[in-house]
Amino acid sequence: MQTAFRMENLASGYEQVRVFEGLNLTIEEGKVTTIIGPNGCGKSTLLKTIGRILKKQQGTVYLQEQNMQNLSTKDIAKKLAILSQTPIAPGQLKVEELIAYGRYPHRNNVNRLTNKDEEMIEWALTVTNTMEYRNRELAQLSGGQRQRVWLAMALAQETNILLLDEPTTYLDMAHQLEVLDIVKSLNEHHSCTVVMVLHDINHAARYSDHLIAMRKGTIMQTGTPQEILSAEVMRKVFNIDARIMEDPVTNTPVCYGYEILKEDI
Amino acid sequence: MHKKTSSVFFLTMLMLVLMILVASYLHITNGVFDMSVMDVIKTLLRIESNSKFDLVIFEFRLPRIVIAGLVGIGLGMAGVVLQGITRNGLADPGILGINAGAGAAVVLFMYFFQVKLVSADMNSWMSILMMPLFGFIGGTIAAILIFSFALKNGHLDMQRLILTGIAINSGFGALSLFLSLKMSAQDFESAAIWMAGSIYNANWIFALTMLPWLLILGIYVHRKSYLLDYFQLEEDSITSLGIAVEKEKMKLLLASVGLVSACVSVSGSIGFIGLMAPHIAKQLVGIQHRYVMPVSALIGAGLLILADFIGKTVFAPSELAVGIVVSIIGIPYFLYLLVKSKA
Amino acid sequence: MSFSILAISPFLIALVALISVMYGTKDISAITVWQSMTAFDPSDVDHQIIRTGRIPRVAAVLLVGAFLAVAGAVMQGITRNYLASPSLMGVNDGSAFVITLAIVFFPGLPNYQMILLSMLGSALGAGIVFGFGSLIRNGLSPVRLAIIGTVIGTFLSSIATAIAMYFQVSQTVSAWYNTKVHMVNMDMLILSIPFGLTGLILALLSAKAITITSLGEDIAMGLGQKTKAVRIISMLAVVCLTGTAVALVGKIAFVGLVIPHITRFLVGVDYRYIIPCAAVIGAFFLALCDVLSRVVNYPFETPIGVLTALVGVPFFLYLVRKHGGEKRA
Repeated sequence: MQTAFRMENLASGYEQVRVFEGLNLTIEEGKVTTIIGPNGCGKSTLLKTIGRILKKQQGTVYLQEQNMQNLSTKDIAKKLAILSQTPIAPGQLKVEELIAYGRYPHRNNVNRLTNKDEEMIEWALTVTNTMEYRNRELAQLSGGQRQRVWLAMALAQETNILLLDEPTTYLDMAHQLEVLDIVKSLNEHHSCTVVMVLHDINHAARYSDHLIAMRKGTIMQTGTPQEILSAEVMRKVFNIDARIMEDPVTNTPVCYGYEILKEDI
Repeated sequence: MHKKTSSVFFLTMLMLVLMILVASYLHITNGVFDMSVMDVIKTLLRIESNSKFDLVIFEFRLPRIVIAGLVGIGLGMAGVVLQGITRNGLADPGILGINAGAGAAVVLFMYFFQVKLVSADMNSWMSILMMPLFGFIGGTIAAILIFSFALKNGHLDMQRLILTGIAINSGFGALSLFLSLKMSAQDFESAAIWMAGSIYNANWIFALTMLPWLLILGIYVHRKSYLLDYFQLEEDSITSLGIAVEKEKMKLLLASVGLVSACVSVSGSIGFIGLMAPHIAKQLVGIQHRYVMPVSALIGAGLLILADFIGKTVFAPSELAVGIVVSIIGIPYFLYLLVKSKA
Repeated sequence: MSFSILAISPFLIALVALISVMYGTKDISAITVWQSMTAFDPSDVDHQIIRTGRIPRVAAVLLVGAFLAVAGAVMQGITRNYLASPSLMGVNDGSAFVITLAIVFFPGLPNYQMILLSMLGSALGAGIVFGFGSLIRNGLSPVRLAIIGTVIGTFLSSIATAIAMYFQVSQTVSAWYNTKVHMVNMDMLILSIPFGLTGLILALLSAKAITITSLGEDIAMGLGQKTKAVRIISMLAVVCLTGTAVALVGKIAFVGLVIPHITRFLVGVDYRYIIPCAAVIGAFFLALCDVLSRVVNYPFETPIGVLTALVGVPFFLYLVRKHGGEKRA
């Protein structure tokens, strides 16, 4: 099976700080992969580097077996869409206009929308349940509504791969599941490859096929939710003594309580 | 929804053209000696020509109005670009010191080539054509300095940007002063007036030197104005969409510096038009830049023609440099924007 | 450290002053200078040049350098704003504005009244700038205040120019605007001593209080300091100092910004030492700039503002780079 991403000897970081290096990883196509880990472990950095938002400092990233360095940024945009953690846009922008921005990589004429463009916008509105406020200004939406609209913009990009950086931050419990449900259904019904960074390990376990656990710039372990949400991995990665059980409704592991372990380093 | 905006757009453009015509009318009929509308029309249409009227209109007033209009267009467009790129409603080429940089370069040029600013003979043709080029280099140097000082972790810090602009303004201003004092007394006089931002010595040569720059860069900037819509999103989102952010911003920045330099080389440093015009435009036609751009251009033109008219008449028989008139209008507006802004 | 500065400074200042007097469009030997002061001969041209031109000029420059430096130090201490300075906060411009109005509407006022009006202008300028700053959210941050100050300064300048033009006295006015170190008015110079000295004394009196204020509002209140009174006295000091400076030589930028930083770097945070040291460093600095202004473009004179900008602009940029938008000085 073709991999969605393959990373060799990848190193990345910001100006003075090298967040991780020597990283080797593959991410499968058609699956939901989630990166988890404590604050500062490099999960967001990794996601941004894969999505070429952050420039890599060393190594190679292969997008569907093609070296990303050899692809133009517009070509990449037709293959993958990224939703960043705190997106901003002018408040007077209308929902439909923002979603239309997502069509950029496919547009030749910036002044007119083609039928295909309109079709994709309609689809994005439908999938994210944002049809009813298509004409409203962004500033008038609630947090949950706005997050779905941003997701719609990413969807309008018509890509097979979606990268989501903490898409559920600042949302309440109901809206968090709302967003994750949409993402899951995209994966199941449209074969979308999803790579996301999540804070909540229970959500990660519930919605993912594959988990990558990081700590301090290193990948500690990768595997299925059952493999990762285990007491031993939780100790290694989060320095917590976790109590794990299986959620009888979703059949996925759940951490229902934990204690902080004494500091190791 | 889209239809509504485009009709608003056309209506606004129409109103602005009308406003410009009115401002021009005021400008052309008033001055050291007043002319009636009939006189103006007769002279323009070459019916019953009168050499005195001809001189006044074709040598003095018309070039001046035309240049004021062109400079206003250039500054109005440059302002839209700068505010779009920096995502800051307080950005203006004057405040950022780009004017000062272009100005210093032009003063340098004047010093080396001793350009006679008023005459229009063939010898000075070539040198006058070079002025916008020099201005461009100076403006670019200023822009490079400003943006490199204002970058923090590869990200543009707004506070630093404006502060650096203030410093650059002082620096290049001092440089201009220094250079101008090295000139002969006569040159210094005209240089001083020019530096304050004046269209006093306007002539057709100037209009022709800046026109090609204005046309080329103006069209480029207008065609790329849609990018400014996208630039309102934050960097990551824009990159995700497949726009080469840094590259495109740089190209637009250079284009706006080019526009500003072309204007400065002809009229000296005029600030605040690039600040006010985009804001007024956005109030009228919304935030879509392909509408904002042309509207801002026309507003800039109208404002400048009006300001020049005020400078010419209110203080008659002496003239107040248009740059000063614009400052007097523009600064309270800037302060008002500052009070209104959230961050 | 401060004692060594205060000890060396008279010598350095005397040296720079001597050089300043000796060299100019016509070089005069040191002996002649000495003689002109001890055994003045009215028929000797050199003696005349020294007495009526050069010595007043050096004296003015020294005084103004000291005044502006101290004014800047006080402003930075009281507002805890690393960019506070007479030129950036509209203080200089306020002075110049009122002086312009005076020249236009009340020509021929006696010098001491000009100084008083200049002081009024300083207060006006500062009042408008800080007033606006308090209206705007976060408006008193260093950056915002600097922007407001610069903008209002430009505004006042523009209005002053417009008024001068309207009443057709722009020649006289631009003489004010372009610093006129080479045409120092003897009377004004003598008058500026008591006024400026008052400012210096006021500054020294409030030095301790300023130190406490500069450490933070909470600390100041915790120590039971009468913040309002301190503020008033120190603003009075600033107004006296800048008003006198502008009335004497016009607007000079960057001295009040740069010198306090250098002084603080050398002597620490106690304003009882900062103020006197800033005064002497400022005097020395401006005198040095004055000498250079005659050397750089020999035989022509460069406006002293160009030289202060030469030092000031890079320093300003360095400060911005280092401090960004933070509040503390």
